[in-house]
Amino acid sequence: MAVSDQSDCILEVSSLTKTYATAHGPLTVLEEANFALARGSTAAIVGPSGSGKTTLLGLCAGLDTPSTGSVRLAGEALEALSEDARAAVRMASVGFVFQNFQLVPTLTALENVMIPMELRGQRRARAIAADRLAEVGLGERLDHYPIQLSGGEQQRVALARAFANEPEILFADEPTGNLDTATSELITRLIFDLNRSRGTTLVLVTHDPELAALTERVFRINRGRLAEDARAVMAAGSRD
Amino acid sequence: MAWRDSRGKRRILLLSALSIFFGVAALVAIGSLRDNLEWILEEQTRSLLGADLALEARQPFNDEMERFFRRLGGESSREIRFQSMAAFEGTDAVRLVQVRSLRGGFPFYGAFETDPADRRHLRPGQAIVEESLLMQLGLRVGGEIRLGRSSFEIAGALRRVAGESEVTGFFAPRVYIRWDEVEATELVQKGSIVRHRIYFRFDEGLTGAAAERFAEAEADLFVRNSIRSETVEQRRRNLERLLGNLFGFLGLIGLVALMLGGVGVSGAVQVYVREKLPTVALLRCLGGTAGLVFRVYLLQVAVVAAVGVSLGALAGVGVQHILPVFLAEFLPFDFEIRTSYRAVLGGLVFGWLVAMGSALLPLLEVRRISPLAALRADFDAQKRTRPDALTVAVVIALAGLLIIFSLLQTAVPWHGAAFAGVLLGTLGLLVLLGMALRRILRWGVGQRGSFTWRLALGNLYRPQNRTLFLIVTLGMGAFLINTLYLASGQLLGQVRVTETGDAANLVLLDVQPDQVVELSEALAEAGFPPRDILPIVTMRLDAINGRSLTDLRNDPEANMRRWVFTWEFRASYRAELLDNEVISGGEWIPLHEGGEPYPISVAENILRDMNAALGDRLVWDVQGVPIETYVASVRDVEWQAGRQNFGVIFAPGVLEAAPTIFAVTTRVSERAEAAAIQQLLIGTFPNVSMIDLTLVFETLDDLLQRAAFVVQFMAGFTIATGLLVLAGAILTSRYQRIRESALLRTLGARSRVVRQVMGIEYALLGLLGGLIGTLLALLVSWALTRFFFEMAYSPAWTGLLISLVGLVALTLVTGFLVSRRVATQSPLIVLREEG
Repeated sequence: MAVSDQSDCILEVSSLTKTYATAHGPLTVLEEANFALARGSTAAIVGPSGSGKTTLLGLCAGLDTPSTGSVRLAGEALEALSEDARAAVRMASVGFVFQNFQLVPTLTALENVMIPMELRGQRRARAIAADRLAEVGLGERLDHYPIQLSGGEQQRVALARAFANEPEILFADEPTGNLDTATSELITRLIFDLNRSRGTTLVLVTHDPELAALTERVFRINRGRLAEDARAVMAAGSRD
Repeated sequence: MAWRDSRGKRRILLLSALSIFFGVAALVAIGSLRDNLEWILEEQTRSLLGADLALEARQPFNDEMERFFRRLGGESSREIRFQSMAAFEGTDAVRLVQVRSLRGGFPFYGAFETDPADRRHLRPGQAIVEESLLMQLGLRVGGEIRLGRSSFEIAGALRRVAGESEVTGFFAPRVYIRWDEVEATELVQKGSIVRHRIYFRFDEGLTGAAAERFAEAEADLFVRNSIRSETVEQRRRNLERLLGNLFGFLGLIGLVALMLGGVGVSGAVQVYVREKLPTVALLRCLGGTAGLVFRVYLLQVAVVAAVGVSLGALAGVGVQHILPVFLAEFLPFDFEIRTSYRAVLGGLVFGWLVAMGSALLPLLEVRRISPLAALRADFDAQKRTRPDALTVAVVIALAGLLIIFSLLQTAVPWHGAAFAGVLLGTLGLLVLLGMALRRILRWGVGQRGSFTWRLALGNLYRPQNRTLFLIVTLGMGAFLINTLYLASGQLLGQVRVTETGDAANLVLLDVQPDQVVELSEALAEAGFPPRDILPIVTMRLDAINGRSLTDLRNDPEANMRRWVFTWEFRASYRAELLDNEVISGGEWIPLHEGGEPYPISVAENILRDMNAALGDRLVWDVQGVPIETYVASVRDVEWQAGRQNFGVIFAPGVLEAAPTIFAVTTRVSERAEAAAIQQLLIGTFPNVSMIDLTLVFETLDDLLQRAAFVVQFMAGFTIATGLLVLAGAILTSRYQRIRESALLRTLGARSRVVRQVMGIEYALLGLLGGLIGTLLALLVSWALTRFFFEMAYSPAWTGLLISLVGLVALTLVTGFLVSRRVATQSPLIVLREEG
């Protein structure tokens, strides 16, 4: 493991298993996953479709509960918390970026970025949101609705929203999956810039090997079994 | 292909079918019931009156009339009717009853139902008493009833007399005694109000020579002798008109439910088309023509609409059995319900046409979906085009359908046209106000308010919102219900207002001149001093401006109401105006000391029915003495105000010498006091009858409530449709809500926040729809009250507030029921959607 101290660890996954009951008996989609991520580190989860990537991400972010095992996120054991309490952890410490952007269509770009801060009751949400949008190059598009923005612009709004709360960890699910090459590069650069400038831990779920290669650690998942890529481990070790 | 394509989205189609369910059910039920009543009127025509002809006079028939009866031929039967107080052995109860006595074979047709059966022909000393009165007082057959100076054994309970409904006995229960025992009661005295009736039966009905003689008499003899006549045909026409109006009104309410269902169909199909957009675009890409694709969806909707209307028609056939339960007591006949296939077919065809017309509006959009939408999901969303000619044609056809159906429902064309106009106007106004509201929200929400409020308000104008649709639906429901509520409340309110305050609530009638002083003193001693002592002189109109009533009766251009020709007017005289009347023309003359013509004051509505005006000369026949008068003043009388008043008032100094009877009014504060006065009357003044206005108003209130219930029952179909459409609208946006809720929860929102957003949104929809509907209801009910009922307008604000709160609560409950689990849906679906 690349985490030396408990206080350095933002995410710790232990013996994590998720099983669904089906008509044909129990179906295990994630089996005995173990890993820990240090604060400020970057990691990628890669694997074919249906391998369990989304399940793992959902469990790590507290969007779902495991069948067995535990997830400790930002110091909180998620399995012991109710859904509302997990929502509070997400509000305080987690940012998300999705492949399909997931902006609220009724709200402007600025209002979408304000959501996490408003949920926290944070002051100056409007000014901060405007700053975040300016940082991702959308300072002139504050009052635009999602439908009035291109895919790349929508993803930049999503990124500004993800960082609005200054989260300790950012989960990004195929953040460049719906974008062209140039826009993908822009978004990738923004994500890693923000990771570096704010020390936010980055967990990427991606099919893109080039994007995965930019992270310090790469986890491969296949048929529910998680394994860390040795090359990446070595690279991470050399960086440590 | 149409069937395969509907897979996965059949729930939305089912919703669309259900939207029209209640409307069709209502129309079929009303239509079938209406047909049933028409059949019954056809089959039981003669029993509607119990005879072929009935004549009535306020005085015994004179020799001229008797000669006419002999000439007329046929079989006859006589009856006298008068009101009296009745006491019952073993109870303290004294009631105002209508005493009747028959001689001859009436009813010639239909039933005279008693319990035990066949007690129509009484033995000496026997009486038949209204069944409801016996039940009310806990009396049984074999008990005793006292009328005036005589006592009678109760030989049977009266259930039904041919030609009369149960309501007939509501105000003054009927009591039948033998013809030869009337005199001994001493209830019929000089000046007493007694109605003398004669019934005729002819072997061939009122046809041939009998009909000719009747027609001749109607034009002259009856006018001269103040004879009111009714033939079985007239009775039937009156009933047909009355029932036609009632069922027309109920049918129109059903129509609103159907139209609202049409809005629901339109909304559901709109959502269906939107969700089918990628499929349509793909089919176009694969070579399907716009026409072919349109036909696929048209077929789906046509089948679903057929299913919806069929289910509705089936329900309607069931519902028609419920309505007669509420109507039975108002109808003068028994009847069994049969299914009218004409009504079922009508409901099916009309319901299907409305459903298809409503579905076509959004369905026509299918033709315009470009194959490019398969490549760019937002291609069509960005396109805005004006409605094409076909869309306009469908809108016009729908409006035409509404107008045609409204006209078919009502006997008077302008009533149907006005209804359709008000409905279309309301619909248009609701659409305009809904659109304006969306703009205001968009403009007004801005940066103010909390996050939850802004999000909820934002949902009301978000892309693909259902705000306009829901506001129209809820607003229409609120409009209809509140208009009915306000209009009926206005009528009921007029009844109730008279119960309150310090107005007199007991009227003692038929007080003989020599009883006035004694009765007044007795009342004062008992603690109920008389409020008004009103002299009453009966008279009939003889001529207007020199033209005899017979002459006017036969002049088609005289333009007078029929009742005026044979009416026996009850005029009074006094020097002062009452507080429920104002002079609207001419001059009130408090005392007249000169000779003829004498000044009189006439109520506006009476003068209108006479087609007379201020200054006109009227000649009255005051019990054989002609008196010439002129209309010196016209009064606007508030008849509903509870205070006694008269259509024709003379100035003091004219009528004092004429045969007069008196009415005395007083006030009691509770029922027991009224009972005490009743006891006083029955003992000392047996000929004086008493009307307890509080009891009358209670009975009237009860009757109106029962009648209102039928209307409310039908209005319930509209509400049910409204809620169904609301549930459908929320259900069709459920997926979008779940997605947004999951996103918010992914970003850290607690389920409470999501519930708050939904709660605010639903409450606002209910409130805004309700407010707009209520405002329009206020406007229409004001117009109805002011111009149709001709009353002062005083809306029941508390009731409106309750209905508004109720609508908001119903919207909230429906919204949350349909959206249950939205707030607690796992946020994971956001991620799943990504994969």
